[in-house]
Amino acid sequence: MTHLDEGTILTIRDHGLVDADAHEHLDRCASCTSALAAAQGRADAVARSLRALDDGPPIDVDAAKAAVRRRLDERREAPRPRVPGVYGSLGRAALLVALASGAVYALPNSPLRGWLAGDDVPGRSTVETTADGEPAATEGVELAVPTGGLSIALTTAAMGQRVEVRWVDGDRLTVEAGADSRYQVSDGRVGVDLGPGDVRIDVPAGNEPIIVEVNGRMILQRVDGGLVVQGDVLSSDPSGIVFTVGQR
Amino acid sequence: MDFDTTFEAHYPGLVRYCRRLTGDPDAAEDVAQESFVRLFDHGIEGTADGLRAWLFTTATHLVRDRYRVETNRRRLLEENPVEPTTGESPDRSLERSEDRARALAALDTLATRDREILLMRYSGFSYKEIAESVGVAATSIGTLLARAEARFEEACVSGEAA
Repeated sequence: MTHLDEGTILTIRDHGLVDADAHEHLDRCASCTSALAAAQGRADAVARSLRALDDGPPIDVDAAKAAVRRRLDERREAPRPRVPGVYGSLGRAALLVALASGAVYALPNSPLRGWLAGDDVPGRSTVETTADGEPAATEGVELAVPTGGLSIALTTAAMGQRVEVRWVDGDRLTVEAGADSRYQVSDGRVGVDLGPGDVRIDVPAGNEPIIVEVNGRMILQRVDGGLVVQGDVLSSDPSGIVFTVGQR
Repeated sequence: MDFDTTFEAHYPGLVRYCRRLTGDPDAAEDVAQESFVRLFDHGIEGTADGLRAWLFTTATHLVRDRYRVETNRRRLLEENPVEPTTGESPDRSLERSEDRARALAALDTLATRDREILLMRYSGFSYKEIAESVGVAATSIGTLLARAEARFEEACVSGEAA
């Protein structure tokens, strides 16, 4: 007899969806019933232990609300850090300097990922694109990437937001997003804190490996000529793929 | 949902989640507030559940990116920052302080992703919501959660024995 694995038992405990066969097995298997009871006991113990961390000063919702309103006002009054559609010379120069120090790429399990993710490591060069730009139809960053891999991380993406990835000739990586988006560029990595609006990423066809992440989830990886797509694909053709940000 | 309704519905829960995630009440408040700023600044809309998931996911990413959680936990463990509750007996105060230190140390034994999965589950999120937040298949959550729970409980028990 094959017993239920631990993951299935926890899924049943937490009222998740499992095959009907699993429930049938549970009805007639004392061993798995016992394992389910043990898992429930463990959940109670874990919940009890975690409650110890809830101690702290009382949560003052009104004060927090006022603080958030202040932050929103400050943010709305301050000029947005932007790189205009024509890619202002200051921002462009800074980006090229950043890229000149070497495109760096890290596979998902590489220790370099922590470095790319922003851990404080001496010598890391990070450039904030703070050049103020005039209003433009498109805004974004453009980088010269002669060789090597790239990681593009989109954060605060909203459900239903459209992300288009295109393979292009040449050595220019371009990321364009809504006017309220903010960009951060370090060696081999572009991070975009997204505002509303569609996203378009033009990736040099000759560069590898490439990773595109949305809200911390990898949606596309190109490595060794192969393409791994995990996002919600809206449409696809040889020149690129269009994703839509899925429901959380 | 308007600003007040959304804030009052989700802020306390988000702060509690961030306290567990960071082990630092000040950092927790900061992250929770920044998550709300981004929610309203970006004009994110959705159902109450959808907004809650968005806020918790954003907070998780902020913690991951901004705060060196392990460093904070170690500092907090060293400082043993639990403040006694007014009127509480010294024995009870000590016991609470030890429970808190043990839970922090036990969370510290988990990998970042396992810790996020554990804490999101114990904040009431479904496997599907957790999967989308941490970027793994929903079918893997049961197994990952089982591992995280087992390691956490084991660390708590060994902490009690120590």
